Amino acid sequence: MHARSLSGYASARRAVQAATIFLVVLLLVVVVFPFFWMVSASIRPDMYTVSDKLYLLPPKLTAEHYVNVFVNANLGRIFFNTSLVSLSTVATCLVVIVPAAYAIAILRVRGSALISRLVLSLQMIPGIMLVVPLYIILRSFHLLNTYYGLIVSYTTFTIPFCFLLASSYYRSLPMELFESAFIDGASRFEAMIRIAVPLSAPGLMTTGVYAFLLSWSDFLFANTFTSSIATRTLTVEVTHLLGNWGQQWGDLTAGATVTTVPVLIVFVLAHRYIVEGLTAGAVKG
Amino acid sequence: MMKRDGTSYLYFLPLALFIALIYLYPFASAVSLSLHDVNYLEPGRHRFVGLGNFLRLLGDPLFVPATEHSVVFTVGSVVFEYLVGLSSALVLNSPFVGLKNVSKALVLLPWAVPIAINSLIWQFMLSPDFGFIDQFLSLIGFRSLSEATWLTNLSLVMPTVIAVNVWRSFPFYTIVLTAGLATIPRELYEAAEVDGAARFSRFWHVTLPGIRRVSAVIVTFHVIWTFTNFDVIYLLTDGGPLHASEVLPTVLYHQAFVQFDMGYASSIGVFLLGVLSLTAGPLYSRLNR
Repeated sequence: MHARSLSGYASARRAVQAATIFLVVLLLVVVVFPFFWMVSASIRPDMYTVSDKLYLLPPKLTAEHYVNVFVNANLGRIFFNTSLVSLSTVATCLVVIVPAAYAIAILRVRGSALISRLVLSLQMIPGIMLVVPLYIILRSFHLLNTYYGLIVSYTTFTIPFCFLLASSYYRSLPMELFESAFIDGASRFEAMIRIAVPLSAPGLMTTGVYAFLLSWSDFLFANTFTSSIATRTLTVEVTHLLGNWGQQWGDLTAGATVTTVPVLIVFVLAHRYIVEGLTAGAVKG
Repeated sequence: MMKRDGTSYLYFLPLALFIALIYLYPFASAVSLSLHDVNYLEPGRHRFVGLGNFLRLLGDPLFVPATEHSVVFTVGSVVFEYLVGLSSALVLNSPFVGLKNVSKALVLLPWAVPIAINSLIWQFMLSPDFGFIDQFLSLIGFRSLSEATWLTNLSLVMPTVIAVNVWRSFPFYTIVLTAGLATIPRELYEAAEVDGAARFSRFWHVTLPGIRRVSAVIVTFHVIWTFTNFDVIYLLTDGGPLHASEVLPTVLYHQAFVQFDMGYASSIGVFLLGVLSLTAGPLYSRLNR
């Protein structure tokens, strides 16, 4: 009797285990499949995509779509634009937020809480509301179709979030280190450069990775503030790759793959930081 | 001990300048534009109209449907994102699952890839006839369903764009809720078990209260982000067919960058922000109660 209920328990446990594993596999397939499909369509002739028959794997391999987008659509130039604008946004963002986060968390100036709250509320102002005034401002300063215009507009969505992230890291630094440095006669600026910045390197890494991913992903501002290939970014260019007849799925998926690869690289290298930043924002927040 | 004098505020200078330049000034000019009649197609046109743009918005035949679609898109997305996010967090949290870090990294993928790319991949997969979804449905025997034109069907378009948006956003919930679940003290579950609480009762009385605060934060943020999201619908349908998926952000964009009616477009932006500032705060405190 006792033995039977134990084996009943074991088989119930096995059933739960099997169901759980099934659900995880289903979850991963749903999440990953569209990316697999994107790559798969980008390396086959279009006739195997626009076809009555479903080919999961390419029946015939081709590099024609990649040649097309790099030679005809000049994707190399656009890749360069996107990298330059994203990296410049990261640099601008860090230069602006590091001293401010230091002043809030280490110098503890009066009004810190108020400033944090102000920046948090700025995060609520949506890009779609800022796009009209930013367009007008950039136009009057002749900054449409320039890298500067994009970098300035990208800081609107990177600075608030990155500031909150960086200041939460700075708050976790040991105050005693700074106090003894000040007793030894270090100036506030020296303490920032020599102690705060090196100690917060992992935090700044997370912040930078976020600023990069956010900039790389922008579509709204780049689509509105750039009209020529000279400053266009990848997310915008990819929407043009479908061609005039809306049939060039191979080119489109090749462009989409090229846009996704840097995200994947950042992801593999900095996955730990990304998850940490995401949860720091919401769990501690 | 360190000194606290006025020069410490110098460290805020770059941030303060940026905020003034990229937030306060544009924000103020958006509010000011919303009170003016400004159209870039007619360079001389610039006059104060008070609340005229807002009155025009209320009378716009697109106003009611676009507002309805915005609300449906936001509520539908956030509810399903939370359900899928929480279920997947619970499943990934199970002791039976190995390779947790790899699984979590893979799940986060749709969220990390640019929205524009995700939208285009789904537009591709949802195309009629040769799109993967229709091919797959007819392969597994749902031939009639495979005739569906997801993004160009008046009644299917909203559920479809919501589904794509859920697919792209739920990973955020999964990762944050997994971290939230990890903060619940194990003793609480043990105590509940000793008291004889069943699996569901443990979930209801221990798990849910344990992730309440995190849930309030992510739900509130996603309500804000979804209500103002432009990319997903613009790239999937551009508000079509026949305005069946038109939301306030796509109406705004069309007014600003097709009609160049900058004043009217700004009034839609102010309306969006007004709705959010009236609802986001109360929503958060209600969820976090």
